[in-house]
Amino acid sequence: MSIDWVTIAAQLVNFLILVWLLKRFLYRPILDGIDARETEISQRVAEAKAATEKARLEERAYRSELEKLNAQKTQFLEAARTQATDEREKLKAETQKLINAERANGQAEMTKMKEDYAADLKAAGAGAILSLTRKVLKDLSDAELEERIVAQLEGRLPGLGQELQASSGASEKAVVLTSFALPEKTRARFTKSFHKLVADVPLNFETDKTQSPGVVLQLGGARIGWTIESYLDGLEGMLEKRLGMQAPHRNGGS
Amino acid sequence: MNLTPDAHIIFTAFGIPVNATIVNTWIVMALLTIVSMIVTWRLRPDAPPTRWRTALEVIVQGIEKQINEITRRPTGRLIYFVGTLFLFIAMSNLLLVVPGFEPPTASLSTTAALAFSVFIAVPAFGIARQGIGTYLKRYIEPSFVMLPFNIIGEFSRALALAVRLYGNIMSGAVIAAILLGVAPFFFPVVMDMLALLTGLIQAYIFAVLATVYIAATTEGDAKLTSKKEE
Repeated sequence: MSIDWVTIAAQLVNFLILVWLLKRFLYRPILDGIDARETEISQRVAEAKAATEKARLEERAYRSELEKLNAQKTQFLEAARTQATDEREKLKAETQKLINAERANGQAEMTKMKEDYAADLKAAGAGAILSLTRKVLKDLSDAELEERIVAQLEGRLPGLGQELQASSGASEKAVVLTSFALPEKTRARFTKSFHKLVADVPLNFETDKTQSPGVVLQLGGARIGWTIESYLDGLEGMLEKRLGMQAPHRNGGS
Repeated sequence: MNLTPDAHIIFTAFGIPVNATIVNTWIVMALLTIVSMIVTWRLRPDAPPTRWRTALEVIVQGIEKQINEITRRPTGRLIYFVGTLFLFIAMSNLLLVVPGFEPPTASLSTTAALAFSVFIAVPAFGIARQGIGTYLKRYIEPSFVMLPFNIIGEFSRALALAVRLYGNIMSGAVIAAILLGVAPFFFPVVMDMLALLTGLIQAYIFAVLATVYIAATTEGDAKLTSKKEE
């Protein structure tokens, strides 16, 4: 065991050089790298925290917005539902109204048709009755009937006195028209009754086969008659008036 | 059989003999430096660390942690000195397994040089931290009578460091060489394995003691020094 002072000096120098070399190539780069990495990691952690906080805030804002939108959606849906219900009710009411109106119109139309049909039926019935009556009376009429009619007219003459007297002023004769020839006895009696009212006017009896059974007295412009035709005309007028009165009454009632 | 590589002269330069201790020291220095340069070349903080870089970081941070546990304060420049001591001694001792390689730490000259560097570093760090007045004052504490004992204590500490390391490594190498002659196939392997463990422990002890001495000086805590030595 010996100590070589040259070697000691050389080793001391070598050691100092090694200290410098390792400081230059090992400790500094490694420690600086660790520090830099720690700094970078701290920075990244801080950035990550900031990003997390930002994301949390954005998430909160988003959730708030979402809740608001959901509330609005519910509100809109509720409003739309209410509006749709109102619209449906309105349309339903209008439709019901239209249906009622259509039904009323149909009923009115049907009632009118029934009434028209009834009126037509009545008119046709009346016409048939009238023509049947006319035919029956015409078929059954004869001289005897006309004689009775003349008797009736004779009975009514006193009531027509003033009218006859007023008509006789301008006329020179009076004519009695019948469809059958009257018996002489009947003619004389009627002439006598006539002359009691109009004394100065001669009375002639004429026969016209085309005339309706009955008697017609012509004096100047006046024409007084009592024929089956005039009865039937009166009946027809009465029926028409009656039917005419019934129709407006029913129309007004519907 | 040479007990120290100092006697093994490799070549002579300018009349100065260059022995195996110096050459092997250069080899260890080159190995440490080249590996460090390769690993830390184009080191960027944003790049993911490689396996080699991670390994070096583990080593450097381990050294830093040990120093911090002893000194209880940021390592500062102390890591350059103590870390280099540890890495140099550990690498020298680990290269014991390479056939034909004589560890520089098996030379008393090397261990003496390392102990001398510690001997210089202790007052250097103490003066740098406390100032020369405060540092020198501790030699006359608790009284002026203690001055010679304190000075002797400084020298003995350095001597103990040198001899402890030299003795351990040299003995390991010598025992391995002897056993190689006695039982060439089995015992040298076992002894080399034991020497690896011993070498690492010695490197650790040397570095820790250096740290304790420096820390005790800079903190002025003499009790810490004696406690650690025990």
